[in-house]
Amino acid sequence: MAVAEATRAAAPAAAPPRGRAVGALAGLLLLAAAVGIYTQIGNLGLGLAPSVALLLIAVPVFLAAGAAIRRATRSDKVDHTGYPFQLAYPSLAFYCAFFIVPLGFLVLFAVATPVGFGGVEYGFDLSNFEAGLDSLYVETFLRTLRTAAFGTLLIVLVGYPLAYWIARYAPANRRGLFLALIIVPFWTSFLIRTYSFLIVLSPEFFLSDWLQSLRLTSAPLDVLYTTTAIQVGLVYNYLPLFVLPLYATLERMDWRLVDAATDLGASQWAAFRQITLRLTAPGLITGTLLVFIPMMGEYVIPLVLGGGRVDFIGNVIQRLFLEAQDYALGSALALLVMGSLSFFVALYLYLSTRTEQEYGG
Amino acid sequence: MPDSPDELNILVPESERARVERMVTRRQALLAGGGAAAAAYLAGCGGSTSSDGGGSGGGGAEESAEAKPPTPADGTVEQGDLLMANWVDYSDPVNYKAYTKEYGPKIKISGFGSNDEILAKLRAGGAKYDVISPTGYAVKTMADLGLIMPLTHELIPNLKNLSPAFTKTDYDPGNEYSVAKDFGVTSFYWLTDKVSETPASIKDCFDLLKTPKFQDVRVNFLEGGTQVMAMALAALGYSINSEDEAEIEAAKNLLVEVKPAVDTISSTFIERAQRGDIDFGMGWNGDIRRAIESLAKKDREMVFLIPEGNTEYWVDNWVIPADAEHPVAAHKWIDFVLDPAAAGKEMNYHQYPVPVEGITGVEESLANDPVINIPDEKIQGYESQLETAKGLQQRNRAYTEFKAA
Repeated sequence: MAVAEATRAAAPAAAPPRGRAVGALAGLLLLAAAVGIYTQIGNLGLGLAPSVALLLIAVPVFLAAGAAIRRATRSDKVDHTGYPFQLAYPSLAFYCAFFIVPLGFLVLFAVATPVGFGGVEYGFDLSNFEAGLDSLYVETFLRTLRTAAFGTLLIVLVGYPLAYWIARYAPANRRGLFLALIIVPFWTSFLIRTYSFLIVLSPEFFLSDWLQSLRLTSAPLDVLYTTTAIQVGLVYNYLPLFVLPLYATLERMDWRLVDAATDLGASQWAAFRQITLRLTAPGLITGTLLVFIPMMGEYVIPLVLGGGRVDFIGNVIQRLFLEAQDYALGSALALLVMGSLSFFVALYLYLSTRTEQEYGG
Repeated sequence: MPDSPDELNILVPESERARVERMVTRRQALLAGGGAAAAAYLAGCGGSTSSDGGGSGGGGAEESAEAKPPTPADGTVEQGDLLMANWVDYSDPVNYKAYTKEYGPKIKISGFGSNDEILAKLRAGGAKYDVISPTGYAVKTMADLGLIMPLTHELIPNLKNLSPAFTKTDYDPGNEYSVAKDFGVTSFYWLTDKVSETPASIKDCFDLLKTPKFQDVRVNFLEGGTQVMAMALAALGYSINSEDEAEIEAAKNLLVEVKPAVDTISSTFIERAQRGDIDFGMGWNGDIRRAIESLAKKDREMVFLIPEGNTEYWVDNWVIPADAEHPVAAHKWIDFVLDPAAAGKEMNYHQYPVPVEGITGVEESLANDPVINIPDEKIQGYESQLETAKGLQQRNRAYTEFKAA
């Protein structure tokens, strides 16, 4: 509570323009909500599971509140940019209409009581979160997390050398062509690309024969409708999303720094680790997040390439809404996934920026 | 029941007529109980639904008829495409073209894999389907929730062709909301060169799936909690509509036990089955008959089991969602496929019996095929699905555990 009072005192002192006043107000409201959750949680008489759920959800609320307040209390001696804030209204409105408002509905549904076929009775019922933390759903979530993390790792292993080669060694007049080769398949519908792998991975396709004649496999390819197929599909579909931001940073690399390092006695590996990797870290971090987060929400690839045999957490949530008509549990589960995903992403960003700073220091 | 010469050409032989009628009567008995229970349940929930909870099917119907404006009476077919949500490959494309030629609107198809899915899409709104083909129990639920519109019978003159047995179903007596499209059973099928055993019941099929040999057999299950659980419950000798916790648990355990043998879970499997890429699977008799015919051309034999004991028996229906943008065009489609010649094309295409009197052009081999013409005493042992919110949630939970296994 002390924090809230302190910031309440600080906010008017900044004498902000209208946009900032709104921001500060929103920040304070968010903070109050988060503080409310944390202080009142003991009085709600909840079980362990819903309490943990609520605490997890409060984390992003706290982060948002912090950001809003920092923005509002920041010293505003000069308006450097002269950027008219009004220009941000359309995107802000879009963001509100298609993210904040639906999110609000999700929260409303998540604490409601399910009634009949897809109906809900509004109220404050945390049993949905308790049901959502059932080991069945936690296991599915962890399986999704494992597959997505492994997929991201594979993409880094495939994508980094690819982007590196294009940026550094590919003939300058061919770079556009190589990039186009990566981007053009991306113009094809996601669904069609996924279905095409049903053919590519089938034992009748020539890939299977090639692998056998190269003595890489001894029997016809038998990966269709397995976790391996899902993994391959993930890597193939999301690779361009990783390569492009990474290429953007690699392209700006001053390779003379690497030359200088090797001239001064660094090994190739040391030069890569201490210079290239460090300078391309922002692209690497953006790229991994760009592929990891959509992978966590993936549900078409497991359905098509996994033969519908294995669920991702997205499939479970989709079925809760579309088949079981249990909007309350579906919403609670969606919020839990968002909350824990925010936690993992925050942790990742924290660790990676700290590493970056350590390099720098 | 008239005995005019026209009636001699009906889909089922005259000797079979009594059987078909009994089948439908049996359905009515089941649905009468279930429908009342569902309505009472919805009423008990209060507030959130519009059903008045009357024990009869008419209760919810009158209310939704008031809430939604009826079809435009002048009967002018609207401009624009007719958006149809149908089970995959479930109507003859030749009929689409003929319909477009006669009435104008092009037909756009959107597929669905389970009744739960199409029900949820209607509830969510915004899909703007003009005509859909849910199963009987779902018709009842949709009507009670006001999601489908009452039919304007003046726009469907061919309704007179519908088999009398299908004009008094209890999920929709008097065809107020729906017109029967076709009917069939759910069971298992297999390729004889891959599976040499000859299971005789759903239980035998599940027992086979437990054997180590089935690790190497390509097995496909249908999608959806209600569908898969119905088969597991039937295998255990329970009612496919059971809501008993212990029975649901036992059925779930059975599914989890056979999961290692299951390679794919898909309701859009028919093309794979036709190519011979599925060795053993769960499916519907008409779909499988198509696979049997395709495979016979390649000298491969597929068998569809008409099981001893219990399994699922169903009727699919044409209905028009309450928010349809082209309701007249939708009525005209329903009318179009009730025409004896168009109905014959439909039946030859999807290979399920179509209950249209005087249906013409049905292939002889199809009309007499034992996969389609199921003996009366077997039908007596089969059950139709009912639907309650509790049962749906129990089944979805069990299905998720099955998938996680």
